[in-house]
Amino acid sequence: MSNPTVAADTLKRQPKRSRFKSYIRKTWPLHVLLLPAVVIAFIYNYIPIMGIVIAFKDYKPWLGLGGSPWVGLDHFRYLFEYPDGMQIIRNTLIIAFAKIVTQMFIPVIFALLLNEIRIKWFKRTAQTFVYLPHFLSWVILGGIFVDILSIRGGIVNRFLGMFGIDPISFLSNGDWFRVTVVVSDAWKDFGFSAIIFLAAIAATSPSLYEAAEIDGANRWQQVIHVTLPAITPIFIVVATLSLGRVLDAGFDQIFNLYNPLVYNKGDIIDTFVYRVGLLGSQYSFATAIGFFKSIIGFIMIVISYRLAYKLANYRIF
Amino acid sequence: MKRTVKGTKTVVAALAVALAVTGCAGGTNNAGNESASNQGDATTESPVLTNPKDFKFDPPVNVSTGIRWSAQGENEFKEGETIEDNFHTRWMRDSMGINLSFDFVVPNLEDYETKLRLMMAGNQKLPDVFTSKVEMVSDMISADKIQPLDEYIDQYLSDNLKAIYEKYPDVLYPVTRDGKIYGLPNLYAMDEGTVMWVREDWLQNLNLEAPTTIDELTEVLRAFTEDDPDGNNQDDTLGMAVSLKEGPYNWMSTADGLVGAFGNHMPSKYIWEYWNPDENGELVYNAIQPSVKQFLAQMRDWMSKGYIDPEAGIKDAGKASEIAASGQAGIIFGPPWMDGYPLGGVEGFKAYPLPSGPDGQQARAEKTMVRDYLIFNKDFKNVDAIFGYINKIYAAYFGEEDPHFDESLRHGWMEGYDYVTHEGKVYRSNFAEHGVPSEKWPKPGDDTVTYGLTLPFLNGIVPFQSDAAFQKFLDNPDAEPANMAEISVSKAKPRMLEAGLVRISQNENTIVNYFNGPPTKTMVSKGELLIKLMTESYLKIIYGNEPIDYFDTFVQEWKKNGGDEITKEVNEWYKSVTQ
Repeated sequence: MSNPTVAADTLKRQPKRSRFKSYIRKTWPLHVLLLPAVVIAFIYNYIPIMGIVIAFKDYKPWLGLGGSPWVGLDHFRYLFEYPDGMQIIRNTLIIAFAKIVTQMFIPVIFALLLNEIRIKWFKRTAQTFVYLPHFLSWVILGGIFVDILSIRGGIVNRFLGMFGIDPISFLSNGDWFRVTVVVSDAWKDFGFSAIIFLAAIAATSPSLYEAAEIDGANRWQQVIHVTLPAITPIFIVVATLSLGRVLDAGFDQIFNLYNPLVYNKGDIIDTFVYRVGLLGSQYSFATAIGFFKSIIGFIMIVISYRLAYKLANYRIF
Repeated sequence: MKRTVKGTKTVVAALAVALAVTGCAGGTNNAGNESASNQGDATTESPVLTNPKDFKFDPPVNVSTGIRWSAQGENEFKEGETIEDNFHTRWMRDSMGINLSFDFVVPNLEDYETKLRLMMAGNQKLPDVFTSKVEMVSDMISADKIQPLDEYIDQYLSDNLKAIYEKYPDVLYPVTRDGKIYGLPNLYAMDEGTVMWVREDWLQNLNLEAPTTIDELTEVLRAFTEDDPDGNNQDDTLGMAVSLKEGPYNWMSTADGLVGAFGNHMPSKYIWEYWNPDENGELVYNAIQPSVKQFLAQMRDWMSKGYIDPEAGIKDAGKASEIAASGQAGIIFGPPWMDGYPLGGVEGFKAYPLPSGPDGQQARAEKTMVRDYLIFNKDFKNVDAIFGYINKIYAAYFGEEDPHFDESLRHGWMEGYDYVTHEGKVYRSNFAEHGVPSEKWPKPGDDTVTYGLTLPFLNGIVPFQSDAAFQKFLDNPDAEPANMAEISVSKAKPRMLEAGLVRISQNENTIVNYFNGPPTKTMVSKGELLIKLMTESYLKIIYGNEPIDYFDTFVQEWKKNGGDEITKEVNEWYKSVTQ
C-alpha cells in the first residue's frame, strides 16, 4: 500500500521528527519524574469532573450514576426560583467583593509600612503576631466574637462607650453584620496575605534604591517609584486569582457568626446550601451549586486575566 | 478552610465516581457467604430457642458490622484492647459463639452515613448488621438491601422486648413498609425532659418564692434583673438565660417549658417535628398554631423589659448557657443533667417544676424516642444469633426475672472493668476507700477509672424504665442496684436525682411528635425555606422589629410556600401507618 504522497510527506517531516526524538532522548528523565504528578492529577482532578453529571440528575445512591433520572436544570432553577435566591446571591457578591478589596489593599499597605521599620526584632515580632489569627478556626473565633462584640459589656462596646457611643449590636443588625464580617475577615488574614508582598519587596534589587537615592528621591518617592512598581506583578496575580472567589463569601466565618436576625443581609450561597443539605443528602443540588460557582469563578478569572494583560500588559500564564 | 463544605462534596463526588468505576469488580469481600455455611440445616432448631440463657453457636457464627465511635478520653479501654477487640467482643465469642468483626470504624455520624452511602453506590457488600437513621433505612429498603424481620421477631425476640414495641407502636412506623418491619429501634431513656433551674440563693436573698405560674415568673425575672439578687450593688444580673437562635426548643437553654405553658404545640428547628393531631385527628404543624403567638408575645414583653438575655437571638444553646454558668442569670431551662455541665460550678441552682400558663396549662417537649434502627443485610442468615444476643442485653436491663437473663451481667458488663467484687461485695467506684486491693482495680494504681462499653448494636435502654430508681438512690446512695437501668441512675449526684424527680413529676404533660417517617418530598424541597421563615419571623416578633400580629402574616406565608403541601403529605403518611 505504498502511497507516493504519504511517502513524500514522511520524508519532508523526517528532520522534525528526529529533532523531537533527540529532544525526548535528552529530557526523558524529566518526563518520567513528572509522570506520577500527571497521573495523580488525572485521577484525582480530572476523572472526578465526570461527577458533574449528577448536577443534572436526581441522584440516588442505590440507583447509581447511570441509573438516576435526568432532571435537566432543575437544581439550578431551584436556587433562582427560591424566594430568597436573589437576596442570597446579592449578599454573597457584596460580602465577597468587599472582602476581596480589603484583602487586596490592607496587606499591601501593611507590607509597605512594615518594610519601613528599621528595628529588626520589632519587625519580626510584629509580623508573627499579625499572622497568628490566620491559624485560628472560625468555630473558636465565632464564640470569642460573640463575647467581645456583646452589647452587654463586650470589650468593643465598652470602648465605644468611652466616647459616648451607644452599644452597637454588631451581630444582630444586618448592616453592622456585614461590616463585622468583612473587618474580622481582614483582621484574621491580612498578616498572612502580607507575607507574599513582603517577599516581593525583599526581592527588589537594592541597586534600584541606591540609584533612586543618588537621584535625590526621599523615602516616600522611593516607595512610589521603586517599591510599588516592583510588587505590581505580584499584586496583579493575587488580584486576578482572588476574583475567582467572587462567590465564596467564607462559609466557616458566616456560619459561625450569623443568626436569623441577619438572614436578610448575611445569608450566603454556601450557608444556604448547607441548610438545604441538612434535609437529606442532596448531592445533586450541592453539586449543581458547586458547578455554578466554578463557572462564575472561571469567567471572572478569564476576564481579570484579559484586563491584567490589557491594562498592565502583564501575563500570568 | 473556607471551602470545607464544597471540598467535602468534591471528595464525596470523587469517591463516588472512583467506586462506581471499581465497584463492578467488587464481591471479593464475601464474608456473608462464609456465615451462610454456619447456618446448619433448616431442621435443627436454633440454640437461641432451646437455651435462651446460655445458648452457644458451634461452629461459631461470623457477623460483620460497622460502627461510629471515637475515643472520649484516654481510659476508654484497658491496655491492648480496642473497639474491635475488647472484653465484650470476646464475651460474645466465648460465651455465645458470635464472632463479631468490623468492616469499618468511623468517628462520627456524617462519616458513617457517607461510608454506607458510598458502599451502596459502589454496590459493595454492606455489613451484615448495622444501625442507621430513619432516612437511610428508608433508602436501604428502596434499594432492596435489607431484609424484613417479622418472622424473626415472632420466633426469637424476647417477650419483654415485644411488649415495648406493643406499648410504643409508633417506634416501628418509620421502618414498616408494605406491612413488614425492617428494623429494630435503639431507644432513648427519655430522661432529658426540661425542668426549670432557678437560683435558690437569689430567691432567698430577695425573699421570693419559686415561681409556679408565668405571672409569678415575670415577677421573679423582674426582681432578678432589677433588685440586685447577688447583693454586689452592681447592675450585672438578668432574669433568664435562653437560646432563641434556632427557635425556642433546644437541647438546653431551651424555652420549650414556656411554649408549653400556652398550649400543647411546640415549634422546632426541624420541619419533621412537631406534628400532633387536632380535634379532627389530622396532624397539624405546631409552629403555626395560635398558642405559639401568645408565647412570642410574652417573650417580646420580657425582651423589651430586659428580663432575658438581649443576645438570645444570636447565641446557640451552649453559648447561651454561659451567662447562667457564670452567675449572671438566675433562671435557665433545660434537662436534669445540666447539674453537671454547665451548672456544675454554681451551687445555687435548684430544679423546679415548669410554670403553668394563664389557663393552668403546662407542658414540655418530649424528644423523639428513637435514636436509630438496627437493620440486617439481605444476605445475612444468622439473624437468630443476633436476636439472642440482643435479648440478653435487654434482659440485663429488665432484671433477673427475664427468661433471657445472663447471670454474668448481673452486676455490670464485666468484673474488673465496670465493677469489682471484694469480700463478697460489689463496688463500682471509690475502690481505695472500700479497701479493695489495688491489683483488683480495673486500672491498677488509679481508683478513679472504670471502663464502660459501646454496645455494637442496640443499647438495651428502655424508655422511662430508670425513673423508678431515682427516689431509691436519693434516699440511699449506697443501695444495691437491681439492673443496668438502676446502675446508671446510681452514679448520679443528689442534685441531679432531685432534678430527675422534678422531671418525673411532670411526665404526664408532654408534647409528642406524631410524625416519624422519612422526610416527605416537599419537606426536602421546601423545608429549609419554611424553617428559615419561622426562625426569622419569631425573632422579628420577639425583638420588636415587627408587631405581634406579624405572626398571622408568617402563618399565611408558611402555608403558601409549601406548608399546605407538606401538611397534606404528612397526613397521608399518618393514615398509611395508623390504618
